[in-house]
Order: sequence, then structure tokens, then C-alpha cells
Amino acid sequence: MKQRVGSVSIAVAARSWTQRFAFVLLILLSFGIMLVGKADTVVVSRARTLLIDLIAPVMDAASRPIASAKEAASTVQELVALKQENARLAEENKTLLEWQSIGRELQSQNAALRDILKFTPDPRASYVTAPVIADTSSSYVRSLIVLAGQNDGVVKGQAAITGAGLVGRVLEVGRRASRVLLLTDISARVPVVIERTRDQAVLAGNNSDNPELQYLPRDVDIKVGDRIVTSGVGGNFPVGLPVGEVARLADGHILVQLYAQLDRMEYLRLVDYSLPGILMQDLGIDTSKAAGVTSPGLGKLPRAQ
Amino acid sequence: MALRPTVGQQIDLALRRSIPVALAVLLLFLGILPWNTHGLGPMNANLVLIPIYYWTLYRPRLMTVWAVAALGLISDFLMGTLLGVNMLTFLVGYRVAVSQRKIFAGAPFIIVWAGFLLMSGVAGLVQWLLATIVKEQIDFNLRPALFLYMIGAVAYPPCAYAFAWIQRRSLFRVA
Repeated sequence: MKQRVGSVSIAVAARSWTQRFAFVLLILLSFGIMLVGKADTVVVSRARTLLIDLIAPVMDAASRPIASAKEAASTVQELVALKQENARLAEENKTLLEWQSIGRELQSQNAALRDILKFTPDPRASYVTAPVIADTSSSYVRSLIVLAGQNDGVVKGQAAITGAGLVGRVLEVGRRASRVLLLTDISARVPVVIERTRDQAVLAGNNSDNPELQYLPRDVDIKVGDRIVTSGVGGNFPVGLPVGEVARLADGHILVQLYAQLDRMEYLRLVDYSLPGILMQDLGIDTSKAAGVTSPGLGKLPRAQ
Repeated sequence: MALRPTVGQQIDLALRRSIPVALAVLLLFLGILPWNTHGLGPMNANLVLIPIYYWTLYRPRLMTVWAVAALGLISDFLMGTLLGVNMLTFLVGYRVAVSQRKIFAGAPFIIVWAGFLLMSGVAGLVQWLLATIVKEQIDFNLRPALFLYMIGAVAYPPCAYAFAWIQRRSLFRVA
């Protein structure tokens, strides 16, 4: 009996030691994986995109009931506010019709001026409309997964936009799905320009809802409400893509309210502007080939010239 | 002489034993669904810390250190964080739960809940430290982290209730 108790206690002690050894081993392994991951090797990148591809169908199926529930809720809301909404839309329609006539006038004027200047138009953009199937944002990372990948013509570095404005850029591309890094992520940097003053700056994410403007000249005349658009520097995004407006100036920080509502995105448009950006050159991608990519997406539209 | 379990019984046992880890994976996926919580920020709390804590307390053999490491690694791949960050965070959280198991396992619910708050707080701190080191800049904006901490705190009681029910129903005789 005594011998049996002794053997049991030895087994328990051995198990405890094994557990502790495994714990220390796994802690060391996690540090090792961090070092390998920091080097951003091809293997790690492949593994990431492979997993995104694997979970894409599951997440797509799982996110549909949520999308339906949200749609039902918004339908109810719309029905409640139908009369007010109708009046607002009638007013908006009036304004838009005025803008339409101005737009047509400018378009013909623009065409005539381009003809005179022998102007070469920007390359045409193609769009892939993709549903958001996962929100992988956490305290220190802001990203999404969308259901469109290499098969749909998505390329790393493309701009992700909503109807309202820029949202982020494509970070990883799988065959069926891609990860989009949001503008609010702490590592996101986008060259922008203040539309009114034409001062260039960099929009830097800070993991809050309001990214901030950096590298502005000291004597810049900036006001709350100033529109911020992309400057096109670096060639990743075209010039003049709406980003947001100055929300507040606090302790030397200029915070921006994005036009796109990052917490209400169901679909994103991934845009191939066919620009030979620095991202593609850094990756060693032949930009002349990338420029020829045409995407068979749902909403393939030419950019308005 | 003890009877050898049939193949069916062995499969049944293996499936039952995998319930705690499967629940953790389920919560991991639920956390990244596009909930689009207006004005509340990211919903993806470290919800997976809840099953890790609960099962470490009540069924430690079914939530092993290896399973916790694997959950962390899957989370890293899914979230796009630097590989190893969530793995290390979950392992530290697991270690806190293991070290306090004797105190919390038989304690009243409120104490167990406080234990979870302690564990997820330590895990959150580790996550913040790692994010600071990895990004090479100190992130003073702790609002999202605090929000996620609160989400975890609020989500613990219903999750624990559901796990206790599953434990009674399916893991009663499983060691």
C-alpha cells in the first residue's frame, strides 16, 4: 500500500514537472516565433494567407445572419423615419441636380481644355466590391478580412474605400480573401494634403477612432472642419481621394474624423488605380503587369474622369 | 477484469474531452465576426481567455498548456498580430489561472469572477507591453484595451454559466 502511494506521488510530481517544463518551453517558443514573425518571412506570410482562405467560407456563412439582422433593424428604422427622410432626400436631390448641371458644364469644359493641352488621362481604375466577413480589430491592431482575393484580382497595397472615403489598404492577399489594414491602425501611414491650404502631411493611425496628422509645417493655418484628401505622394493612392476632416486640435495633436464609418462597414471597394506605387516596387512586383490587372468583381466601374 | 471500451466509446470520450478547446475556438471565431458595434470600438475582446480560465480551474486536464499555446497561435494568425504575441499572452494568463487554481476552484462565484478579472488584467498588461515593444512606441491610448477588458468582465458570468451547464451535461464522468 505504502509503495503504491509512493509511486502515485512520484507520478504526480513527474506530471507537474513536465507541465512546468512544457510551459517554459512554450514561452521560449513564443519568443522564437515572434523573432521569426518580425522578420516577416515568406513562409509566415503564406501561412497567414492560407488560414485566411481556410476560414473565409466559414466566416462568410457565419456573418450572413448578422448582416440580415442588421438589415432588418435598419429597415425598421427607415420605416419609422420615412417622412423626414423623404423630405431630406427631396432637398438633397434639388442640390444634386444643380451640381449635375455644373458638373456637365465643367466636364465639357475639361474635355475641351484637355484637348488643347494634349493631356494624358490617369489610368482607369477597376473596383472589386467585397463583403466584410471578419473584424479582426483588437486593442492594438485594426484590420478587417474581406471576401475577395487573388482570384478576383486583388493585389497587395490596393486602396480600400467606401462610398464616403478611404478606409485603408490591402495588407495580405489570399486566394479567396484578403486582410485590409485600417487607417486607424497604429502602423498605418498615408500621405495626405489639407485641401484648403495645400499643406502636405502624413495621416498616422493611433489605434483610436481619430488618426492624427503628422509632419505638418510649423506655421500651418489649420481649422476644424478642413477637408483632408490623399496627396498621391508615394504613388499608392491617387490624388484627391477623400479621407476625412479635422475634428479637433488638442495639445499639438491634430485629430481627424474619417468620412468612412469604420464600425459600420458591410462592403468595401478595393481599388486598383494601376499606379506603380512604392509598395509594389519594394515588393519587387512588376508594376507594368500589375497595371494590366482587370478584376471580375461585382462592381467594376471606371473612375469618373 | 476491467472491460476494454469499444471504438465508439473511445470516440465519444475523445469528442467530450475536446469540448473545452472546441468552445475556446468557437469563442475565438465569434469574437471576430463583424458585429459593427457603432461607437463602441472593436468587439473582439480576449473572449478566449474565458474558456481558458474556466476550464483550467474546473477541468485542467482538458485545457492543457499545449492547447493554450495552440489557441494563442491561431489567434495570432487570425488577428494579424505579430506571431507569438497572443500565444505568450494566453500562456501568461494560463499560468496565472494555474497558480491560483487552489484558491479559486472551490470558491464562491464572485471570488472566481474576481480571479478572472485578475487573470485577464495580467494578460492585458502583457499584451500592452508586447505591443509597445513590437511597435517600438508607447501606446498611451488605453481606452480600447479597457473597453475590451470590460467586455470580457461582463461576458464572463453568462459564459461560465453555459460552461457549467455543459460540464454537468457532457463532462460529468470525463476526467
